[in-house]
Amino acid sequence: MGKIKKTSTSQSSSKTFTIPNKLHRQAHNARVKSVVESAKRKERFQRKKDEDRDPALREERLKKNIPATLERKRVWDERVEGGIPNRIEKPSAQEEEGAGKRQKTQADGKEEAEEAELLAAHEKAQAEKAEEEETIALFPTLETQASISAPKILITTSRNCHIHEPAEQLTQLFPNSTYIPRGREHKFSIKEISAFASNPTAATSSGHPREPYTHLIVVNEDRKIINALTIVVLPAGPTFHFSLTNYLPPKRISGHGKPTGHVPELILNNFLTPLGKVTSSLFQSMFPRQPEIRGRQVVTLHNQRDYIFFRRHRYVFRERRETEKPVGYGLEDGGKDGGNGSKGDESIPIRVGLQELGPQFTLKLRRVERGIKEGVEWEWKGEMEKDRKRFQL
Amino acid sequence: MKFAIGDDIGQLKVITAPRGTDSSLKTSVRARISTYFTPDRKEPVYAVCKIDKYQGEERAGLVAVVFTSGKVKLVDTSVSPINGEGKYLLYTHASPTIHSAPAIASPVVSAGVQDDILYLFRTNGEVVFYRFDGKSPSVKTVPLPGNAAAGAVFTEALVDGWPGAIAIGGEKRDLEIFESATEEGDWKSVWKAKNVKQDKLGLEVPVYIRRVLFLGAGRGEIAGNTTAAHPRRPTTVQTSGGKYRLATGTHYSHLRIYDTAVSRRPIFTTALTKSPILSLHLHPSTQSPSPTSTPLTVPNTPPELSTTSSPHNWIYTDSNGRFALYSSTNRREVGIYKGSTGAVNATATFSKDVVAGVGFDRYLRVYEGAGREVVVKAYIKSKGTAIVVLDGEDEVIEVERSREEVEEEEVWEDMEEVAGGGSDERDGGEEGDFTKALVKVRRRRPRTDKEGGGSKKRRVEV
Repeated sequence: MGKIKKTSTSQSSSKTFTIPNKLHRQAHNARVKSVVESAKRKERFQRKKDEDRDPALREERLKKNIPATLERKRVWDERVEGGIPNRIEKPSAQEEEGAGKRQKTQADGKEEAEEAELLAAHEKAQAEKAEEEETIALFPTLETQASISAPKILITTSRNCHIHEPAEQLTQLFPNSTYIPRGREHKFSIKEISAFASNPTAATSSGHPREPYTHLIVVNEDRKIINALTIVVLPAGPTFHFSLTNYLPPKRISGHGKPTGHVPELILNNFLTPLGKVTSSLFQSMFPRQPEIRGRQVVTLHNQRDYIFFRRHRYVFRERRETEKPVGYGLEDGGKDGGNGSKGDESIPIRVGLQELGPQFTLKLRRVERGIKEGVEWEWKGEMEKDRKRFQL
Repeated sequence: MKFAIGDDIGQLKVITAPRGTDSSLKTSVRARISTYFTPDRKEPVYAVCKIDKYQGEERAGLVAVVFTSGKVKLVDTSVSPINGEGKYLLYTHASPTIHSAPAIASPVVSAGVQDDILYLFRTNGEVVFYRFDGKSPSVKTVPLPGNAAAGAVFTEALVDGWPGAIAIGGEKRDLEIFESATEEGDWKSVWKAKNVKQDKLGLEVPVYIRRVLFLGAGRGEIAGNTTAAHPRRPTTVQTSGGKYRLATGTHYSHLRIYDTAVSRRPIFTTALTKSPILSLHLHPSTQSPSPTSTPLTVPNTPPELSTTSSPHNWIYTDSNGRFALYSSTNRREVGIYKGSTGAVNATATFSKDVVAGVGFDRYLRVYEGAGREVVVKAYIKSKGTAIVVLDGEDEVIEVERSREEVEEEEVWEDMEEVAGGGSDERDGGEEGDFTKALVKVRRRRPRTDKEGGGSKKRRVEV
């Protein structure tokens, strides 16, 4: 496999810039192009021959050639514990120097180093506890001693809404939720709704006092399409505002299934920063803690580049067909998908079959507010996207 | 620079960071953080205050932490937190409520330290003072009628070691000043503010005071036991109580300045933004206002148009994430402290022009100078709700210089500067270089000519 010299495109050395005659110049460029392409083709065919003879070469090449995606080039973020997974680290000369210096200073104060270690351990323990406390403070439904453990969700829409049906479909999504249309004459504000949702006064038909709601979802509509969700954690919790795109109702999904009322399991992928963790705790708090495995339903919230993909599936474990690859295929260590396993365990004769249920949509977190719309905690601003490799969640 | 920060889960964090720290950069210097107290979501910190004297002696690194529930704890930050609470916690006090209502029902709305007196205000109107410089800490509780959402104390004239006057304000409760007659005497209301005039639509401007500040140098004449302690109408200056100057920040984003010697209505008012004001400070660049005899603003101008005669700069933050500097002398915003992505909950100032802020975005940002540049940006993991600057100076690292270096420096210092002569030489040199460059170009061309033309193979320059 010979290496091809790259054609220079610089103005000072490339011949393209020195031939003034257009026809000559075009002919020259065409010749250059065909030579370069034929060299590449030759290399490819040679490579195929070599790899057909020796498959180990191919594996080696695949291991080395990991495509550089934006996720891998993600900017180093100090707020992510343990570093961002699958990130390409560039060991710069500066860092190596710094590492050397640090080693030197460590040799100096042993006592100081011990104290520093203790302090670091103490800080770590504090941080873990602090995170727990914060999460429970924000989401009362996540408390371990369940005083309010079952979430109860109230779904309503923006004012003058035209899409009651899709909004009502959301009740199928969240177990223990009710849809109440927004008033027609007297339109209650979100603060008013939150006030009487968390302190219900009316009694149910059986005479027991109503249980207070734990979450309020306001579905925003634009031209008969859902385009935003505002989730308020009651009674005094934070408000999350998401924009919703690519909403696909179940009917439009080919081969879709009909969801049952079982409590689904939850998969929350790739929420790394503290803001991301708060968001994932929000979703966690909206579903009952104990899923019903018999229902075999799963809700996936997958965060990638600050977009959260919402999917619902019904899964089934079935026998692997002859034509299918084994479980774990493609997830080799250091491969392009990252992973922790071997190249698929052929001994396991089981694969998972998925059937998509229910609506599918994409969310993007836009604003987090303290309390019920008092005080902005985090807001998406356009300038955050100037750096394509920096993500917030 | 050293800061003490309280967060919303009851921790006290002491952060040491030199100027130039930017923890979002991998190569930057790291801030050192020590955390005190176990996290507890039911005990968010309301304020942290620096205490200089304790039990009669000056000690550095003492911080009083005021929790929203009303508890006060005194911490010695020179002790590392790994030694346990017994070692670093010097004093705890949970102020008992009067009507045996649970503490949470009456959270702290204002707290701070001024002239070695720590004060805190609660929603039910109760005010508690602490002094730590005596042999043992002393506490004084003052129940005031009505609800409160903000308060401030006047410490320039002390009565028996306790503040001479208290200002209090709240939701639908306009500013009111109470003075203490004697140590045991009741606190009497000596001055009550009047709301601004109705707005252009004829509607009453709502009152919801969130922050009160006493502006210094308004020396009051304490009325004593006279009966003329409740002035209902502003009469001549001598008969009313002390002369005070106050500033308030409201939930409706107003900044108002009051001068009791002039009138009951505010002498200055403006709307800063549209969101509630979270914190308000006077920027250290504000010149100390002249004594009471000089009016603070031009007299007889309506408060919506008046300006303060001496430069007054106000640092304010609102709940929408705005952290800015406003000048009441020019009636305009002087600048913004940029960088925060969430609301800044608490700010602190330090000598001359150091301003620090913590907020929901979990970062500590310190700004310095007239240009409001960020000198420290440190990630502190939790959402800060209170801050105080313990030390505004950086540690100076002394580098031991070897003898050789010192000698070298002396040699360089002795040498004369060659400034004027150098420039002439340089010009001449340039010309010479230029000619060399010309010559070089000429030499290059013949080589390329040789390669050009010729066989087909050579034409492709790879």
